[in-house]
Amino acid sequence: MTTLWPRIEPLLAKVQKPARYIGCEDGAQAPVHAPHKVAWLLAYPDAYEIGLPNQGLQILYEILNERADAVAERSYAPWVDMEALMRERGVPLFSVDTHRPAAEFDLLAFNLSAELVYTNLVNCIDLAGVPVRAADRGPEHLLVAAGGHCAFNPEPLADFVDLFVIGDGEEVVADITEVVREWKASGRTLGSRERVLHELALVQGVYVPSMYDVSYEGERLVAVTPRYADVPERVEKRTISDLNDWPYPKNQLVPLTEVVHDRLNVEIFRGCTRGCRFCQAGMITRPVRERSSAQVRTMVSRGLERTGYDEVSLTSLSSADYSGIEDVVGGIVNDPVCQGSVGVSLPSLRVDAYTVGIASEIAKVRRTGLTFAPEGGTWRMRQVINKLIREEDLYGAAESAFSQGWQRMKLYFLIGLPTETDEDVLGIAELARRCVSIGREHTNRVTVSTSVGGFVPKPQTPFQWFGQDTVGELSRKVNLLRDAVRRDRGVALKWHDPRATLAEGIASRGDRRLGPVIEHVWRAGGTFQEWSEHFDVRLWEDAMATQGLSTDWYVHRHRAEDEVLPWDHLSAGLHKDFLWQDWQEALRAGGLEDCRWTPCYDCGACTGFGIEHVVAATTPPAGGSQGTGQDLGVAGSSVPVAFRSGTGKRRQGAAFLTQNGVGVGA
Amino acid sequence: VRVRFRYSKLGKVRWTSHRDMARMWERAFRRTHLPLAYSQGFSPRPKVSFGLALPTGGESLGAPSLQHEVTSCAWAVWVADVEHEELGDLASAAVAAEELFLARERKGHTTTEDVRPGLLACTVEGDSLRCELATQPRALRPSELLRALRPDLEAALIRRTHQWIERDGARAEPLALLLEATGAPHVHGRAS
Repeated sequence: MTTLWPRIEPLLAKVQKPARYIGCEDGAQAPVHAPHKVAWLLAYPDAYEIGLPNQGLQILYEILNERADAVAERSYAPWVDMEALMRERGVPLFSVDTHRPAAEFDLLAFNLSAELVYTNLVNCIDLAGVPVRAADRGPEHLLVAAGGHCAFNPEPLADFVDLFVIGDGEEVVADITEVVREWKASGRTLGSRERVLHELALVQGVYVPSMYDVSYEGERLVAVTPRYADVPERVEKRTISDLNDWPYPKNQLVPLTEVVHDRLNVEIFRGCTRGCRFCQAGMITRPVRERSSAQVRTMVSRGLERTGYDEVSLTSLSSADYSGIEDVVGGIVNDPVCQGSVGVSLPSLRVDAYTVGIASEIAKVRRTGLTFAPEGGTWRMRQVINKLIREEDLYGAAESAFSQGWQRMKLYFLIGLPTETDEDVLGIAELARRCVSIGREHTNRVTVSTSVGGFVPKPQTPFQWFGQDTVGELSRKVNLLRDAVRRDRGVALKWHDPRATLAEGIASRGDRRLGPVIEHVWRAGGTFQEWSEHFDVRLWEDAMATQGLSTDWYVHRHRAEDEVLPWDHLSAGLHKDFLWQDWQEALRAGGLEDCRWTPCYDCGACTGFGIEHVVAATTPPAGGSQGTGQDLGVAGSSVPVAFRSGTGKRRQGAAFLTQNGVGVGA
Repeated sequence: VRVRFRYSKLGKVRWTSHRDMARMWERAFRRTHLPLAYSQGFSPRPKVSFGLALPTGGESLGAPSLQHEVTSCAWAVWVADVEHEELGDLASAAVAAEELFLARERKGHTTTEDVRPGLLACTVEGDSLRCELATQPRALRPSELLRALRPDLEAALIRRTHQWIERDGARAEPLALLLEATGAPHVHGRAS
């Protein structure tokens, strides 16, 4: 076994947080490599303490290591101090499990959850000793893969990544393993790299940029066309139909050192159909697939028993929407095995008094923070973004929270949204102020922490056509808010750096011409760009200027209906005309109800894949669709909802699309 | 009931911090369903106290939770980039020195102190230095001793081998003393 540990250990005394590099987590594996096994190095291109808790990476780590023909280890971006020492001593990127050099793996697979990590991805490839540009790689080099939400617009990274995975990874990693296993067995002969990439391009959910030609007319993107007849014109995402088939992670990693989200995480459902128009996650992960409450309970109790954690997070895009959330939460809080000492956290809470009711049940054990995301400052704005929370809902939540002993609450908002006026921006201050005065009726020490982020339009959403606000405009709006709340001591205003929002915007909707920009920023030392102490907007501006690209054109320009978008050849299942109609509806400030409990709008996510929403109950959660129970008077055809009964009745396997003989097991 | 544990910290986990160890123990206690006393308040924490903090990167044999009573620690120190013959010279120079001045930082101020009184013994055993360093009034760390001897010296590995308590003028291991007093069985577990 090749281990770099004797060369790594002497560096550890010289770096901050050396425990980032030792592995040894409870649940870590020491897989045995062999010539007939495909070796995956699963990499998170950010610091260990951010990447370790990532559930997507942990799920694939377990699934791959359960296979007889694969091994998987993990790697994280070394912090700048460690990277400097590694480069000085010639130590390459390594796995934290067995401290094996990255070059000894067959695949280096990245999880991409944010655009500002793109330069870290390039840096990790370089540290692995692999040419950063895919075109410069030969049969002796590993394959560079990437998946995660950002893969829904992979074009800015097309120069660096050999293959992208679009959608859920649970099944597709098996298909990729099989193709790569054959390549490995064939001895990776000269010219074989092109062949294996071609074969991978035929796997559903896999996008291989080098199999496509891109043509431009001036600034305009004209077409992205496959180079071979059998390569699909449009790559469809992979979707697992039933979350209950995938009760992972079974052995969640318990780190020895401090990380974010340091608790047990159990995913209770995937997908969200609230239809918030700014939310990429909600659009690309449809349809809703709930885990049965019995499986949730088992995963929670087994997980707590094994890990020794005293807190569990029930994760999803809107956890209060889970059918029977009260029973699940109550079951954990009152479970005698938990000795009444297990805290529950629910990320992404809906804004209403009902939700606070659940939170106060949880507070019997431990009082956690209350965070709500109204996102928009006025009802008109919230109709535009389809986050249909009324003022009464928010004030009801505030009343309920402060009357039950909370003294702080957090509110999240976006600025720079489509059709936004100064009145909408100032509405944020008004909402925050009213929450403070509601709280003052119960306590003198009220804090309403109000965070404001600049909106970045995301691919595969109804807002993909919208021109992002400039740094100047975002700064002006932040200043409006600062002035408005200056004399309100209870309102603590925080805002995201508008310059970081600009850099995110460059990468978010870019095309392949962004590759040299990312490389330029990386070569200029721009790693860890999502860390404010390392972020430097000048690197991005310089890079754009050097490449002769216009920030206005890429970031601030409204797109036209007939424009070819750089991600049009990748499908999240959503029809482009559905997104366009929803965009037009947004401009008219028209709301759209959650399709879980209303007729179908034919977005394409269910029908296109022959799958359905899987919910544990056919009735909407208390509080109604969108949490407000409003009748928006929209109608469509009947909704394909599969009802999962309490007796564990299995949904019939849906007919899956198969492509080029690669079956997608149901 | 107050329970005292003695544990070792060896191998890769030596790179975890003192605070990391505290969290590991909390989880371990919950896994074993050891009924713990909890503090009161909104965020109850288990009542657990730890011994002398070990520098991150240091190994330890037999770390008990008796911070206040420990008077000195015995260390094995493997020095980086130093030949075997040189080690002996270092040890004898250390013991022979009447004074060992070292600039140390405390609460933002740098003071130069004579740390020689903190060096109780220093010999060579195999390929490592074996020294006993006082923990009171202010603990002398092995890395500080090396720095005082020669500014370019660095430890490749340090391992705390014993913690000592002075009782009636004699040196004793803290848990052994307790065990004698209570007749409890000897427990020695590995944390890694």
